[in-house]
Amino acid sequence: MHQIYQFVGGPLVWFSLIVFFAGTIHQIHRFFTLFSHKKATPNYQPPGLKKQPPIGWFSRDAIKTRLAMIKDFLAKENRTRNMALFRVTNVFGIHPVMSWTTLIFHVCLVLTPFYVLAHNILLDEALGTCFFSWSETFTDGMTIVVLICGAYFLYRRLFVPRVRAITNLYDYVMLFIAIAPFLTGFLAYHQIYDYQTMVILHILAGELMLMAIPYTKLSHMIYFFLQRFFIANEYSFGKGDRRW
Amino acid sequence: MTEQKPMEINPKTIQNLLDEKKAQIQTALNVCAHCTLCAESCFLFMTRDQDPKYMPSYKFINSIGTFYKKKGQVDRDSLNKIRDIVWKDCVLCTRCYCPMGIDIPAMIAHARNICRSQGVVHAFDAA
Repeated sequence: MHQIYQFVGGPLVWFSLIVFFAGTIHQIHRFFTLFSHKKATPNYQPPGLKKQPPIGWFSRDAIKTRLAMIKDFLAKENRTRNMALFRVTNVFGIHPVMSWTTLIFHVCLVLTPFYVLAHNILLDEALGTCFFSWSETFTDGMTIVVLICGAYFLYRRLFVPRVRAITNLYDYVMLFIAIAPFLTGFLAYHQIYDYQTMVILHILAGELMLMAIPYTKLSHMIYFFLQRFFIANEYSFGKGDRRW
Repeated sequence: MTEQKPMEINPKTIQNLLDEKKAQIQTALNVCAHCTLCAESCFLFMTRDQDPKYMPSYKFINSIGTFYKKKGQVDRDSLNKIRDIVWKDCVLCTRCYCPMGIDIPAMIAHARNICRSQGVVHAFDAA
């Protein structure tokens, strides 16, 4: 058992980290080779309409335009119209439960591993430095939040007709890979079932998830950020909304 | 109009057309998290009782996705099904959006290209 632990907690961690970083770089490179450099603003400007400012995060006036949009959105005289628009055009207005669940799920999923005390102790032993830790009760709570949100996604996959229409086995496997490190970590922390086995399973699950990120559906982790910054549409930072 | 005899399906041509956009198709199918948040952006979905078959993701997964998974080895039946998806269920208004940034209209348009290469097109004068 100890030898398995040594192997899983040693070389395999490095291997999975290498796969994760190399894969991420590969995917980012791929994104830019597939990028089509279309002109962001149309040539034709309808008469009477003021010239559209440039779109995209890295264009000159993007931040200024975004601030102006926020100011316009918060202005008192537009409030009724904006709230009505928000309810029908923004994903947080259309699907409040799903949007908040997915936001909280992903924040907890990404942040929790960095601030767990036990992870930081291992990191300190291995490298001599570590992040600061949050209290164990708090990270335990975050783990439970991840598990509850995961259960909600499973419920959607099973019982919501529109989600079921495009769900296949692969989706369940991906959901399981994302949840497994948290489930095993939770069980190990509370010493439910055999601790040694649970910890080894926990490490294996974490490594599996790391390696899965660049090359499976979980690559939406990488593409999410690329999309927010580089593709101009409703969801991107900078000036995003399309006009017809 | 006289009935034309259907062309033979040529998997090789389909494969060649798929290879032209292989990376895009692969990435799109891989990145789609099946979250169904694109559904509301399709006006057909909204006006037809929110039937899941009008979801943008459903349409591209079941058209270009089928071609890609079967490597072009499709039979007449599935080709006709794909034709109905890409012409009847989608009007290519390009207003759908994906939280992950998948260019769904481009995928549907390419599926139309592949259908055309096999002589399968929507008959606008029929029905």
